[in-house]
Amino acid sequence: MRRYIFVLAFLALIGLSAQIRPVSGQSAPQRQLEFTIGNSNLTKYPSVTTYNDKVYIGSGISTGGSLSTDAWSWSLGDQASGIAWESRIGGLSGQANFSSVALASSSNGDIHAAWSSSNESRIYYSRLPSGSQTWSPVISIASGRLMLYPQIAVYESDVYIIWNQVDSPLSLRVYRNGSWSGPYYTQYQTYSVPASVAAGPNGQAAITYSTKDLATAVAFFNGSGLSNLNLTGNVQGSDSSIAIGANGKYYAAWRGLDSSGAFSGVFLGESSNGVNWSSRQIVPGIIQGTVNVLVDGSGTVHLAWIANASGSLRGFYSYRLAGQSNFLTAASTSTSLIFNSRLSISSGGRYAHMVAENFNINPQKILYTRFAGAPGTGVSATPAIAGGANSVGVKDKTTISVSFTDLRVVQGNTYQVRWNWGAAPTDANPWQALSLTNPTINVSVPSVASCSSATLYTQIKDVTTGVVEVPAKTDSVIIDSDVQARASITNPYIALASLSNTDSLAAELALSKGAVGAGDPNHTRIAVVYLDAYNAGDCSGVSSVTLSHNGSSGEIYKLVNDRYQGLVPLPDLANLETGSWPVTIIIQDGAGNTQETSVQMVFDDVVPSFTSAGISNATPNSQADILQDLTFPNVVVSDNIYRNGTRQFWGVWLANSPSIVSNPSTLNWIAVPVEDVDATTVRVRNWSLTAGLAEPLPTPGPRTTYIYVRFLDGAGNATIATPLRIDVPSNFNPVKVNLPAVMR
Amino acid sequence: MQRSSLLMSMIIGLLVLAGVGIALTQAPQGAAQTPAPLVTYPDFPPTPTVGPNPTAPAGLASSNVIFQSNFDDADALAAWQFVDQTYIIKDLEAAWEVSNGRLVQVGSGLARNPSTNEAAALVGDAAWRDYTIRTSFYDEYNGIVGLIARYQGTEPTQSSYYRVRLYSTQYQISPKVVLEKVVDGVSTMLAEVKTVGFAPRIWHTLALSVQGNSLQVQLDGQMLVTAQDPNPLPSGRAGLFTYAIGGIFFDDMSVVTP
Repeated sequence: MRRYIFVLAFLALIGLSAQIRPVSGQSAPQRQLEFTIGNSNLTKYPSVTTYNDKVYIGSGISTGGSLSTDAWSWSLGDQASGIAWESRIGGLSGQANFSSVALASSSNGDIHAAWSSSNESRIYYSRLPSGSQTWSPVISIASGRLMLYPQIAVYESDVYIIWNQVDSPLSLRVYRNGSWSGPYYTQYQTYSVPASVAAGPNGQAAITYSTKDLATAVAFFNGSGLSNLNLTGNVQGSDSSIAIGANGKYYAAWRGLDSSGAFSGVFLGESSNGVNWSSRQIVPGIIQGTVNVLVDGSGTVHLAWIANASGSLRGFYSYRLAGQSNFLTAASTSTSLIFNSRLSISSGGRYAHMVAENFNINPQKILYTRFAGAPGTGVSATPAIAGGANSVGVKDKTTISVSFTDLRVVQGNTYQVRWNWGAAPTDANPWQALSLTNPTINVSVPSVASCSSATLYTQIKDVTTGVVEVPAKTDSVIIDSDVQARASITNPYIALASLSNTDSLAAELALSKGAVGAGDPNHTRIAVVYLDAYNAGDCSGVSSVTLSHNGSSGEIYKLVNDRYQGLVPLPDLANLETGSWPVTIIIQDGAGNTQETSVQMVFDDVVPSFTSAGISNATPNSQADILQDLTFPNVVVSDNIYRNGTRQFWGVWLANSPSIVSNPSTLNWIAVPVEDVDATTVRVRNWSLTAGLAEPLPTPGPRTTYIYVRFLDGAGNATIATPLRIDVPSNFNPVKVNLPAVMR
Repeated sequence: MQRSSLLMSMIIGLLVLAGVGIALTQAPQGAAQTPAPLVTYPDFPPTPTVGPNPTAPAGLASSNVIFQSNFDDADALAAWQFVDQTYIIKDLEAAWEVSNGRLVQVGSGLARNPSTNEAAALVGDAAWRDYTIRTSFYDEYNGIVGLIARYQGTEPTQSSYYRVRLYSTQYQISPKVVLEKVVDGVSTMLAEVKTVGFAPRIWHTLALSVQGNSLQVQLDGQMLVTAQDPNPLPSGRAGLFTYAIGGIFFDDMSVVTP
């Protein structure tokens, strides 16, 4: 029996020792970087927020004098050594103490700012869209008596802004579903120190604030008001902050006001339901300013505060892994005499970023300090719809490809992903496998109107640990379900006639004179067509047009400024033969949608043959004999391809001459289509006897004009036989315009 | 029999283990023990102690003393008026208290948060004309100390007085010493010293003398700066000056006439 007792005791001790071993990945926080932001003059209550691996800092600053003048923002990478970008958010005016800026990020990477302008007694708001360098137009959120210490929280697209007013409750305004509501008020009047607001899953929004009698209170937004709870009772506590974990658990931190003992130092309260709280003193001593608490997706709690240690006011940061009681040995700022810190975490919690007022310098400036050491959530992935495109084409598609970047994962663990359009995924959205080697999935096309924006929410889950990414990440894209564009190919000589810049086109075709404008639109006598493709209202733009023949690889022409106009070779040129030549036109919009049409082009480089014709004649226009109707009876022309009923020519090639010439080819020839008069006769109406003449318009009077005639097939090839000639006597009466008489 | 023996031994074993487990997990949380902090600070040099109050300056023994206080008890506050020389909301008004025999600037408001408002502690009579105000001070981290003379007025941001401001050597500001005349809240510099500040965390003695149109400032018995004012302020109360940041102690303050 004794033997069994020893064995069991030994096994139990092994079990106990396993419970208290250090957690893998746990290392004490370290200060990585610290610098002062040079132009952050007169900063008070600076703010910091992060999105993935980007850090954004905000503050009121002074560009001169003793008052704050601008709401300003800076940005840097979470591993960078200095500020990479900065921008003015908007204006403010007033004493620095009362003119501060707060920042927060949303799940799509937008950065939101709220700030107070004490001289104006206003709270302002602006947004920096993800990827943008420019803050959106400023809007005023509130105005009234002196408003100070604005704070902001964002969850998905919901925005929560709070602010203090002297001897008043705390105010909250909420942006949900596209509109602002509030202000809502806390139950208790506030003491004039900055409060804190946090937002979390399931519409949770919570506030911590210091009451007038210096208790720390929490307030929860229920959609129409705030429910309140005094966290510290009769014990004084202030300068609190609040965070909401991925599982909806609340964390509040504050400082005790005693200088030592049980009611001094940093306190941390935790509650799963917001009602029952468990609070503990984390460390005693003199603390100054806000005690910052944050929790990352894996449940690691991050704390930052300023304490009087070794006779100096330094900033401290530490963290506690999920399931642990103790925080690791804190890391500190190297600079002392700093006030009013704020904290944010990036890269899933691996880096912590503290900003504070550096009072070693006159005027005071922002001290930025970066800490590292926490393992991070390990559960984070940023979706990129269609590789991050602004728009995606869904014509004839049922799914869209979504890839994931910025993966915060543990190699070797198994991951799943779930998604939803328009809102964070819920249990109604099934989990599906996510490969770490090829983190790409297909999602169904959302039901939205073409050319409207859709937002995809995704969450990944570490199946090995059960940790779920919170909040859900998002990516937005324009859904383009059709091609709104036009493309055509035509007989190049018709285009030549219709375009103003015919000289260059003529040169391109090596033409001097000829049957410009001649022929049927779908015929060409050279291996070239005129291509015209343009955007006809496609929201994604039009990127290219491709011409191919019977499955040939085709030639791709890129549109510039949504248009392509030019002469291009017939596709599959190497195999080109006389006769019908089907061309497939595929036009592609900027979202990848394609639209396909087919055109039956005819390549015809064989001239028609003239056999005979009846006596052609000219009949003057009754108003002006300078215009003549030309009639051609019993014309016998044969062509290898062109047919219009029994007629095998498309039109005529006409040239006027004031005299009979021996070489009519030197005249100016003009192509004109004919119309059928009857089965054997064709006609050209209102032919001008002056057309193509080089000399000045002759004065009216009797004269004879000699009209030379050739016949053209559909492609504009002219008969080569001796041209017909029509001798037309006339008085060269010009066209008259009769105006109505005016009686006075 | 053997099976029952085995069962019995397992039960006993589990009870032993439970006892060991309880002992291991509960021992540090005994009611009589102070809970250990759940976070520890990195190693820093020990916090410097403030040290004993300095020897009272010789002036305190003079028969010309018109006011003195060594802040031995909290009642010493009754003689003083505390004002903010910058506009500030009530929750952030400078807070002062007597502690350990010293007058301590403890930040602002009931929450004792550091604030940048200019804080003054005034004493005396509006008829005081020629005198020297002298105090000992010890600065932990405030960085700014000063004295006030011939203070006249009821609205602190619009009053008239002489003031010397002296900055810590650790504070990145220039000049380090400014002797100024403030008339109706508007400051005019009379003299400055760009390089000499005071060392933090040691006791110093600072004195401001006003006699006729002459002003003198002494730090630790050494002349720091002097000035002449052709249009001198006539008379007024004396005072101490700092920022409402906290972290500074005053002791053995006196006002003596020539």
